[in-house]
Amino acid sequence: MHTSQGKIWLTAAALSALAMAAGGAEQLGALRSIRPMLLDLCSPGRLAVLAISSLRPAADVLPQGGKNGKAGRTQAAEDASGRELLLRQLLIENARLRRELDRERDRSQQFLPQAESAEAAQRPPLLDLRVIPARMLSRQDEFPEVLRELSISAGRVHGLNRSELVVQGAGRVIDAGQEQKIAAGDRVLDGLTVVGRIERAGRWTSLVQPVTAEGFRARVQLFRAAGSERHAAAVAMLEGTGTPFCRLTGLEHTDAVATGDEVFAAGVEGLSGPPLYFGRVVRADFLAGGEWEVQVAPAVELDDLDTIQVLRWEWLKNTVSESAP
Amino acid sequence: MSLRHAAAALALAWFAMAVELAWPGAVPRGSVVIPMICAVILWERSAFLLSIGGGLLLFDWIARPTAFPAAPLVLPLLVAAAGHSGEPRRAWRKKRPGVPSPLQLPLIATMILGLQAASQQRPWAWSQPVAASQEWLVSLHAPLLVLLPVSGVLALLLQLAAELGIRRTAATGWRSD
Repeated sequence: MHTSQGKIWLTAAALSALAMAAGGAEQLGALRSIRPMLLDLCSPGRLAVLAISSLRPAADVLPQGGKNGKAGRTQAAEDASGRELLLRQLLIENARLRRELDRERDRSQQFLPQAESAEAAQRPPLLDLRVIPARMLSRQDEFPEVLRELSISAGRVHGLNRSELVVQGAGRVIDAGQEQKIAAGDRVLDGLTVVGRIERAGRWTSLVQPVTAEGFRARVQLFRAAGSERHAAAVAMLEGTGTPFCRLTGLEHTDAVATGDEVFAAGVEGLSGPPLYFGRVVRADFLAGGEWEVQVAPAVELDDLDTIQVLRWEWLKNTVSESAP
Repeated sequence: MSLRHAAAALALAWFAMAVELAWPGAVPRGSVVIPMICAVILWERSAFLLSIGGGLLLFDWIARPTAFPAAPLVLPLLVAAAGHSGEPRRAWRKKRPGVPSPLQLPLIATMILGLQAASQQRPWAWSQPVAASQEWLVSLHAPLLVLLPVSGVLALLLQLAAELGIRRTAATGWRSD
């Protein structure tokens, strides 16, 4: 028995030493490559649990039997009639919107030369830009302030690769406001807030490098508000610092930067895609050596993240080769 | 027997982790995995099951890391310290009240969860201990709401298994492998 206790202590000490070694390896980034594999190992179970839980709501709406059976059936009938009414209203609204869309489309066609619009309609796109929705696997209150990575529920089976931008799924940002007569309820078509970038794509899960993490870099364009307008300012490189703020590098001493400047992506693969928003300049100091020290506060509150979207683009090779002279 | 235990432990921990990953909002991290691993270790106090449980906790930490691997570092030592050697105790030690075995699992699981929550906080937060403690307590609230019932049920199951003779009781001490 005494030997057994010694063996237990020896095992405990070995496990603790292993944990310390793992902690060291994590600091060196040696475990990052195996993390998606471990998460993928759990993915079949996770997907099975999600599949089971998606069946539950259907079972929950069934009326309860027993003493409350009649009341339950009455409630269910009321719910059903309410849903039917809502469905009819939505169908009417849908038809109205479709008519409106057709009318607007006809009106816009009048302003375009017929041949050009037909050609444009037939011309295939050069770039395939898609948004892939994903859920956050990291719990919101797990985020330490020095955030190194997030895990999401999309991977290589969804077509994800390294370096693809991850944008916030909950809200969208546009560079227009009340000055442009925009009000709550208006439809927003474009504009996304960048959360980070895919660092490693597993089969079913991926790791995201947040914008604030050390090693994150993106080319950005500053915009300055002047009255109701916004003017493009300096182009710089946004870098994560491992703190809640990012910094801007690559600024010339002749560039003008001020607190409150908005930071947008300079382009997607050299093309101007949707206006991807990073955040706002919160500190801009011009140092004695003629260098800028600029801090940017990211627009994304990581605590609010629940679902995100991955912005995925690829050149359509057939189109490029066809359109080449 | 040991391989069967290992397979069951792996399956249970895998399922617990899958549940936590599937519902990260409703089932906070560690609230199911930690009690499950504690139950695995306390099922039969052997070096083999301790290494399986500790390994699983390390696996969980590698998959979902925090700033510091506090839970896989401390849990094996804590469980080893919680067991007794079975030697005749001295009189003064006999008088010392111990933790009743049904409470050991919830207690150890809560301690490990507390450590894990502390390791999730940013390092410089502890320069203001009062604010950091408050933040730590707040972060414990949601996981404890799940962990305590789960660990309570698991403790009851362990006790039931001991009563039915399915598992060796803690009173017999550590099992020699």
